[in-house]
Amino acid sequence: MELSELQLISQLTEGSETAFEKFFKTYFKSLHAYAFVMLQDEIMAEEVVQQVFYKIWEKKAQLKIHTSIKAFLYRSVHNECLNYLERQKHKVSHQNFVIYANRNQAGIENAAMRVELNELESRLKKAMNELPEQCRTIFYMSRFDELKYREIAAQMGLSVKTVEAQMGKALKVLRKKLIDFLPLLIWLIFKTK
Amino acid sequence: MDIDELLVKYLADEAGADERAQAEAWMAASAANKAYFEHFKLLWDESLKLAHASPVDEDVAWERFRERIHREYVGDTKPKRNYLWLKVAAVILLASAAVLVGPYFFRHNNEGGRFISTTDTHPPVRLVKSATADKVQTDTLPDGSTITLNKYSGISYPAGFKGSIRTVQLNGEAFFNVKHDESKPFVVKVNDLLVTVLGTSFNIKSAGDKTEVIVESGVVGVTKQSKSVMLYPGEKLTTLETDMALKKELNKDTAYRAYVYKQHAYTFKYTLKGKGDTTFDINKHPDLLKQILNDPGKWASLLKRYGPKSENLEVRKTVIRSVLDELANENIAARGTVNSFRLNDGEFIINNRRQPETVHQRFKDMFIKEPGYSIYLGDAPRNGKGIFLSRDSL
Repeated sequence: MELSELQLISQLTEGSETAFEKFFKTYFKSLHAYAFVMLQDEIMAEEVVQQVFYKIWEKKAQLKIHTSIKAFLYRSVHNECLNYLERQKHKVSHQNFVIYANRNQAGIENAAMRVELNELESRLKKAMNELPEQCRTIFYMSRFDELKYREIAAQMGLSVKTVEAQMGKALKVLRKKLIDFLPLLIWLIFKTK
Repeated sequence: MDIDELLVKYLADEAGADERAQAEAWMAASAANKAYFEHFKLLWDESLKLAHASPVDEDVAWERFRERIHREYVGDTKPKRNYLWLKVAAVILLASAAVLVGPYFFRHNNEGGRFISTTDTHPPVRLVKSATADKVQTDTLPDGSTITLNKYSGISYPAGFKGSIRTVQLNGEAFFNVKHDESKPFVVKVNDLLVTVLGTSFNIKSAGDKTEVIVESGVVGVTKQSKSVMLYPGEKLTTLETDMALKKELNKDTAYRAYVYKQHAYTFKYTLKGKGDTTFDINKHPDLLKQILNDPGKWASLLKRYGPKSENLEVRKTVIRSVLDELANENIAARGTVNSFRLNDGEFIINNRRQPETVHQRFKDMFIKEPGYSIYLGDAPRNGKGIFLSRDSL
């Protein structure tokens, strides 16, 4: 953990709103992007992130962070999203129906291709969410925060070697999960040009 | 270094000059390596599309947060804010994302002509033409794939598959069971469609300018002019030549299985006769037929495994479920409404109600192997020849 992080945590536990504001603004955007990946809905993503910060705010006096702040926040957002999705489960079939109906109504020529794209994205999203926690956090930090390996290593308190290994593992696992689908997709996209 | 780590470093632009060279050498070493890297690259690029920079200003978000903590301090119960402006922003963002992402797919313009040109660059190959009149027929292609042609249908294919794709032309209806080969896609030309697979089973039916594709197993790509759609098991696509969009739906119609079943059943009966076994009629074993249909190449071992001693719990369950499925398909009794039934030579009784003779006859033909045989679902203990299952073992 970096020194500045320790300072930040100690300021948070003291309960200063200014310190909290700094903390909030430092992490909000990347957490919001992270939640969006899981929920594909900006408004819900913001609610989830607000909720995570709110829980921290409420408990700030007893705040105990053993990993890096970033890893802690990513994990909290991930869990909050899962809770949210769990609560939404019964509503989902209805929503899918609405989405489907809207798509049909649109009747745009390109609709078929977009459906295809959605299909790849939803499969990939699911596979990404199923990655083991550390692997997932590192992969997200690399892809969505566009951090270099050494920056991820510093923020997570890990060696660059571990980050390399986890990144390799992430792609390997994703490929395995989508393998029934990738080769044909690649043919359709690239080889028939 | 682990090759996965190396490839990701390469993609992430974290590799040094030596490592880049090493990665490039590895990719160049074989087509399989190249394909492996292409999978990684597609996942890498696609994963980024899932994310988007958060359009929410953190100062505005902070204001909302501050409002919340202060509100909750004083116990204010003001109704929740209206997020309409955010919704509008989200719609605009989604629309622009579609515009950005669309061309990614549309530049891959896979027109039929291109497929033809791929084969045309090779010296002309003799075309094999196969057509049926009033009998179903199964052909084996040079690559080991099997095609069951329905009546009054025709197919043509090269005597040997050269070039980078396996092309087949179809008229009418056929069930395809394609040998898997990732390096050489199998393409069926039918009406104005191209159906591309790497190895899977599916049915295509064309009549006039209408074409229907149903997937039994694996993934199937359907291309029309510049548009492609991927179909998964249990999905169906129906299109007319005048249709511009390709729309898929869940398939509820398994009628196509009938001609494929019968064709294979004929083959097996014949083979068994050769071994002196004339009593085994495969048509009376829908569960086995289904297995064979999924993997016709393995019919001999499937048959052996099925064997005369077939009435173990799994087989009994399968047979009972087949009856229930058939009842649901025929709209005689919906799924979950059948508590008990009894089917034998003399009668078909469902939930203590005797079924009309036409229904009895149809199910008897389908499921009863021999006189004295009966199929029973219910809680009263039973003895005798046949299949018995209590409701809770189902």
